[in-house]
Amino acid sequence: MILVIDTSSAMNALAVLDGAGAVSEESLMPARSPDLIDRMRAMASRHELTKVAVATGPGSFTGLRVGVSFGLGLAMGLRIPLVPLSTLGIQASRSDEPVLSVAEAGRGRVYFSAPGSEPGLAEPDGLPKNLPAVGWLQPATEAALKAAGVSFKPDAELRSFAAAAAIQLGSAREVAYGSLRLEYMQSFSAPTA
Amino acid sequence: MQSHGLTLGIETSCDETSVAVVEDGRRILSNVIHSQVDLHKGFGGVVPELAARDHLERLPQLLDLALEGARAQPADIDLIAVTRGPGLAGCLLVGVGVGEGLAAAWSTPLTGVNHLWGHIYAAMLARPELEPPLLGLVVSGAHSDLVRMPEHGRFEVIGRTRDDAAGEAFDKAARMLGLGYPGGPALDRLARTGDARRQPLPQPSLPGLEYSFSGLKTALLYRLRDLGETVSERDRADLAAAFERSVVESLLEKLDQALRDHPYPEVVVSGGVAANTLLRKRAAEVVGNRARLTMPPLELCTDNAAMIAAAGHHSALQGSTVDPSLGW
Ligand SMILES: [Zn+2]
Repeated sequence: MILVIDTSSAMNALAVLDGAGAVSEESLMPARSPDLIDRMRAMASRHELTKVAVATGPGSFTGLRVGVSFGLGLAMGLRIPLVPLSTLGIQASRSDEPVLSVAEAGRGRVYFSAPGSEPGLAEPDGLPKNLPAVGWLQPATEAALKAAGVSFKPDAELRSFAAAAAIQLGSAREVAYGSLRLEYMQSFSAPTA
Repeated sequence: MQSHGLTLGIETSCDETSVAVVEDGRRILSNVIHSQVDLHKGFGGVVPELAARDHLERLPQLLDLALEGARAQPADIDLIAVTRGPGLAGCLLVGVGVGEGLAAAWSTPLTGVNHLWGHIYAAMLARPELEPPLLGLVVSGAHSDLVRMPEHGRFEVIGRTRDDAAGEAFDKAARMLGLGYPGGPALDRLARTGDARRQPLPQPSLPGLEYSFSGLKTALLYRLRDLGETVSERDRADLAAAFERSVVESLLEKLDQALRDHPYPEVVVSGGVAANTLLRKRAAEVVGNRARLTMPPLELCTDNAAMIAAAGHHSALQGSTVDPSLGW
């Protein structure tokens, strides 16, 4: 069984998939949910895990770290493979049609990715408007995108998180525990002397 | 399940990544430490974002080394102890997350440890028969705290700094003196060649058991500005010595006062700044024969996971474990 952890967005998502990609359990909760660790722990204990997959961003610094670090510790402890997944890739896999996948970048900005072009970081006004958007954003950010003319694909037309993760897992590759990298696409600021 | 009395410690609160295995809270089986000093050198200080990324990348190898060094299997570990604070938030999250993941994988109990307590327990690793009650002075880049420890698991901060921590003051002074980063050891070396009396600096003094180092820092800044271009190598050495003396005497004045207010059989001086040559020498003189003084060796003074394991073990013995992800 594969445990998938995505704590990079405005929604935390966990899923357990069997080897064939069928979903056996999915759990969604708001980011910063106090029982995130409990739910991860419970899912890990309920299933005989053979692999851990973690969304490595881009996404929120705090949330991202909690899920990625837990996934790393769990995989190391069980000595099972660890697979990084792209946050924007998972969101893109929720639809069969081309979409603009988006993730929260903080301060009103979003990470985005569209088929055939490099992912980027932009203010709502700077986003491409030709594709419907898919992604878990804070309500205020989502409202700002809509105000800027971005349309969102309705949830009813999208795959579940777990089903999208299963698609991404098809092409994802295992990494060494020490080679897990977070994707931020955002420069950090160095302290000034 | 057979108990082995082994605690796995994880420390990621600042710029040291460390994993350790400690037996019965007293005996170090392994204590693997990776310092990120080189990573942050170019920035003149710790960059939290870089620090957090590095913790994530180093922990796997350090975990392997710590288990191998202790000749321990995951099944031998009875408790996982991880620093839950104080420290850099992003860095703490990595250690806590990995600790939670390991605990879930191994079905091992987990406890969150106060980093400050860890520095006190470092003394019990250096001297296994050491028992509270004790008076502790924890001095580092993040702390200048006087701590009363009446018994295991009980701590009371009775004095702290109003502004900079002692190690922070040393780092800033070193930067002003052009000594680069990290400044503490370089300032210590330069001060050994100087004479504190030639360039006296004020010794900060606040009522009670509080510290303040910002005035001293400003005094050094003005002195250097007055000397301007004429500042010689010797001036710099003398100023390093004067600055060091003011910080050390200020720290020990309060330790002395706390000892006069209340007798303690044991005194512990620890934390990264406890590596300072003058502080080690003067602490022994100030404590004298009023109490037994323990200053852990250098590798236990700087941040390390063995001290976190020791503190976690003793908290668990007292029947209290803390969920490290609380407060997040
Ligand atoms: Zn420390």
